Amino acid sequence: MSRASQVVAVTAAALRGLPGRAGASLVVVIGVAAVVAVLVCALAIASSFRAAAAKTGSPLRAIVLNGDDEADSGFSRQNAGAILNAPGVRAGPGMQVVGSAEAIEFVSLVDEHSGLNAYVTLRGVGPQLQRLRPELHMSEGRMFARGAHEVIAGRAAQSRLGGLKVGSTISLPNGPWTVVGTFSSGGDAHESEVLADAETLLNAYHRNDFNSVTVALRDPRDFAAFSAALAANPTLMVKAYREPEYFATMMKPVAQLLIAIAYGIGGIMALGAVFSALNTLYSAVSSRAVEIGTLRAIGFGAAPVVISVLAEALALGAIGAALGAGIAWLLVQGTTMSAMTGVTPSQLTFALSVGPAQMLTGVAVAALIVIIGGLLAALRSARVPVAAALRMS
Amino acid sequence: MKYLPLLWAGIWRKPLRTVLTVLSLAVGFFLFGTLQGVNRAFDAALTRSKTDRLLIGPRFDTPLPISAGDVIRRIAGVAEVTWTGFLRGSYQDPKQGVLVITTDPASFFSVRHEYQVAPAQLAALERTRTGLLVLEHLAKRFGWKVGDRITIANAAARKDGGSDWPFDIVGTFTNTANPGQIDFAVGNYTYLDEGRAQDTGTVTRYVIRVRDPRRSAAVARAIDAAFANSPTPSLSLGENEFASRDLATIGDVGRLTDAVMVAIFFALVFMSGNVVLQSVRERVAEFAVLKTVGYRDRHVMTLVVSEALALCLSGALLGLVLAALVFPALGRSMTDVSAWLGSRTLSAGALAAGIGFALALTLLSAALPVWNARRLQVVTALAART
Repeated sequence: MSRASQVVAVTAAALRGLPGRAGASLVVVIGVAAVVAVLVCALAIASSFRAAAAKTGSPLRAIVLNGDDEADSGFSRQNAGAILNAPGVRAGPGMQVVGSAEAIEFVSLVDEHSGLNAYVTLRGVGPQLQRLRPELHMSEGRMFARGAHEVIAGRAAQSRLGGLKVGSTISLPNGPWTVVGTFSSGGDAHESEVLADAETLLNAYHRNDFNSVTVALRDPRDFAAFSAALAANPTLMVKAYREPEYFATMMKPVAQLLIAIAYGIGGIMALGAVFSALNTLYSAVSSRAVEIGTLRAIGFGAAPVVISVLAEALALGAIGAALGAGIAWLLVQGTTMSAMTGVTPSQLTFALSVGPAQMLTGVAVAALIVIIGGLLAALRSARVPVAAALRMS
Repeated sequence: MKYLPLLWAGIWRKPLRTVLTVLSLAVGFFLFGTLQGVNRAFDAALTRSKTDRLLIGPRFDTPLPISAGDVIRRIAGVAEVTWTGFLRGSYQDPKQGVLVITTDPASFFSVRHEYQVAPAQLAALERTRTGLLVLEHLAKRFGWKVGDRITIANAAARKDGGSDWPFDIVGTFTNTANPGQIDFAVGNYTYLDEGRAQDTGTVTRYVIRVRDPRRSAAVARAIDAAFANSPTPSLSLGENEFASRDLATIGDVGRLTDAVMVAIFFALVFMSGNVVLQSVRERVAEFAVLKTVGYRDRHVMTLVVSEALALCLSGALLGLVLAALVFPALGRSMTDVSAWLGSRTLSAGALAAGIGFALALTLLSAALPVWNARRLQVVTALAART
């Protein structure tokens, strides 16, 4: 018999024996499935968070701050005007510059799920909002009227927090403000916020300063000139960021934490699964001792036996991985989750989805578990002397 | 007792299998214990906060004036009022942060009745303007003793310039209900307020006790209504809400930890169940012999269950001890989170849950093998022996 046909014959024999060891084999399948399900879920959370962070911001926009983050930053009306009129900023019809000097405040509302208080970011925006952020669409009601005590709520903020339905009111320092509409903006971080007219908001809070200025650039390449012009202005102590860069940097620590949690928990569970797979495969090998001994006695090499044990392990791992990935998909796909953003005290609500990358990582970890377990068990099987194995019967 | 050698022999019948099983269980229990610890710390932070207490802070950025206390006291349902002014600074090293909560000492320790303080030391704090009562854990950490004069540096700006605040240690207090509590010290509000350059006449927050905990939401609404049209609107929250508002920012932690624990449970039940089943199956003949020499069904059953128990418990103990050792390090690496949680150690509840989990695992994994062993026909079992 050739090497190859030996391998095929022994492997087929091993796989045919699998149903007879159903209970033990199920342990490997369930163990691998648990690891893969948890790992894929956790990775999906991390990657969905990153995706939502990446969706926030366009290379055509720049945000200007004079602190580490928006809450930390503040500048005067004159400064905001100078930034809006810097070179590189796109002009709309009527030579109005497309930009928005924004002021943020945090409003305490009741969380729909827990019934407890939670913060939402209330952002005062300039009159050019819809030219600056064309991705923003009203999905219900209407835009707030400037000068009136009105706000519009982001889709994600509305679903997470009570008291943001169209027609309800929120309490600000100068009395109740009415929610007049709901907006969506492509699932980005702004959907977790509430927007109002900046001037009316500053009035309500007795403020006269802005937290940030966001401008539309004529072209992404104009960023360098815009940034240089701001740096050259001695009355400004500000820094400009490309919008996607800014959000990516701000959300990086949270994204990293989520990934660390995913691999930390997944890794520990995988270690446990290796021990348990090893256990099962060792006993699978010892229950096949007579068969293996007989094969070796009639001239089969050690390699086909090793390969057959590995093949059995991989078959179990594949079933486990498919099961785990399926469970993860059912649990996670299409649900939403909230997490802190690092940008503001308010939370980012994002949709969860399982992508091929997370599935592949899950499958890879499953393969790693069964290959480690399978190899160790296979080596043990190959080491057993033929005579000893046969004597066991 | 006489079964012990038999039990021991059964466990070590296949040493490699036993070692691998225990290791696998230990890994599972390590994760279970750690996640339970995190979950419980969150829950405890919520429930520890007494529902009969409300914290009243500013709704917006303007702090409430000290005069607001009289308004609050007159609102129906309010039993007792105290107020706090936070002084955050550092001791010796700028990185060694210290929180001093200045207050009216008598009403503070009455409202916060979970803190135990000697009456004489409380009286000393009331007598000594610069006095400081220190949480015992904090006093131990810095080696502070009664009579010491210490300086909290880099704190609020003083009227006389500078930002150093000297204090005289007059005593310590403890919180037996939550020994893992975050460190702080208690000083006199008048000392802070008369000395500071900014925010004079304002408080960080009021802490009140309501007469009827079931009416605390209504009292909170009444207080906020009283200040709604004042220059300083208030935000009254149950103490547990204050905690959870901070905790919520971490995200839906509970959902993930629950899912992981369910996954671990399933994997472990299958694994240990299979190990016990296999070991019983291999020893069918031995059990038949035992029955033949007069062992009763319940003896055999006890033997099987004890073996499962020994496996599960040793795995659980190994994993949980490891979790208890690692948990404080986890807290240190995420100081923000542990400050929110107010806990540094794995709670006894988490350990107890782990042991409970181990017992459940034992019963589940021994159920099928026990049933098999009971059904055992001595004659067929012996006949099957080749």
